[in-house]
Amino acid sequence: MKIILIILILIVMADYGFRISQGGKDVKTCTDKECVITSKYSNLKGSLSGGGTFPDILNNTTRTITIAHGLSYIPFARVLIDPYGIEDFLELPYGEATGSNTLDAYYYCDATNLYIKIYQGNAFGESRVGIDYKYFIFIDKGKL
Amino acid sequence: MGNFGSAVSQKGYDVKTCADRFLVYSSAFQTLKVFSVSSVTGTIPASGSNTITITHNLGAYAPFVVIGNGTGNNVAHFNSYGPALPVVSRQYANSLQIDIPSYVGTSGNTMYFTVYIFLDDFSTITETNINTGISSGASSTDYGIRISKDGYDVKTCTNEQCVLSSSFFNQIVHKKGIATADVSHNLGYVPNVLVFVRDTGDSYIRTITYEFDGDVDVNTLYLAFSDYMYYIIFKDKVL
Repeated sequence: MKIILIILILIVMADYGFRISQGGKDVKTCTDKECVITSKYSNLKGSLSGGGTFPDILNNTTRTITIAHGLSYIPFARVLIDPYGIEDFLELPYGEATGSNTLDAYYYCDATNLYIKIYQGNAFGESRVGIDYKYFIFIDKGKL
Repeated sequence: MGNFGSAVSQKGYDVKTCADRFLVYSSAFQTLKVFSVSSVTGTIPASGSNTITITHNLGAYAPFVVIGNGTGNNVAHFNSYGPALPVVSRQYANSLQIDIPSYVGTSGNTMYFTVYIFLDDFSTITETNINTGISSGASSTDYGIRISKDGYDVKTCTNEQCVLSSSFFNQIVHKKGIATADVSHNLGYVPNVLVFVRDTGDSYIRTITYEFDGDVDVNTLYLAFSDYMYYIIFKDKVL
């Protein structure tokens, strides 16, 4: 009797989990890909998001935006910028090297902060103004 | 029959009235599921490139992110080896390849990477909306949901060990597919996106790096400079 009980418990233990199918799919028979959520696969979990505008970036200098993430490990993050100030965003890293202008934009995280960096170089000594940025910091790790 | 389904909102939002982007999940929308996350290494060569291959056997071009952890394995550069060094990677139907060119550092040093591969493809999902408003639909009650990853106790695991939690926003898919022209999303705000490209004759997709491509504004995701753009537009908006 005890043996049977233990086997039953093991069977039940193995079946724990959570599964939600897409509308129109049978949750009992659909593939994992057709699930909205399944405890078999994690989702990226967003923790912080925000945005702002870089201060003027003087010629031949790098500006850094630093955002504390409050996690004790290096997290996953994503950053987009609007390099031309036209509400048109693209994901970093991004660079441009036209005849007179050089721009390098990238981001990285350590265990304390997210850093967004933009370098501006211009043959006529001009500054770069009005670069907006948006960021998403996730609970998920950027380094295991 | 058409009314079956479930949805969970983020903490502080009323699931019945909040905008779609405040949902943790809904059976009306697909989410981005992590198929695998792995730590891989390779050696910087004296010339040319070394290649790391990760076999996943998914049978389709899967979305992915390669994070460079440097030679010290102590930072996370997204789609980069390091500052201003965009990573060269190719996602095939059954494997992902990451090149380590000689120019990324000192020959013989080990380069570390964290690689996310997502359980998804670029089959078409057209945009659907339940609530498109930008108001929060805030709720004074504190109901919520928390689901742990397989093998973790949901009562004691860390947030990172959860599949999802109503304490955090999720990557809910607004629409996705393969495009040869600009894609309208009609969200009315700039959303988060994942964009890859493929050229005719290539048997892989690659990330866009250092190109003014795959840019997105409040209504449109613009075609990347390539033959095919593989895209996912999320409902995320910077709060």
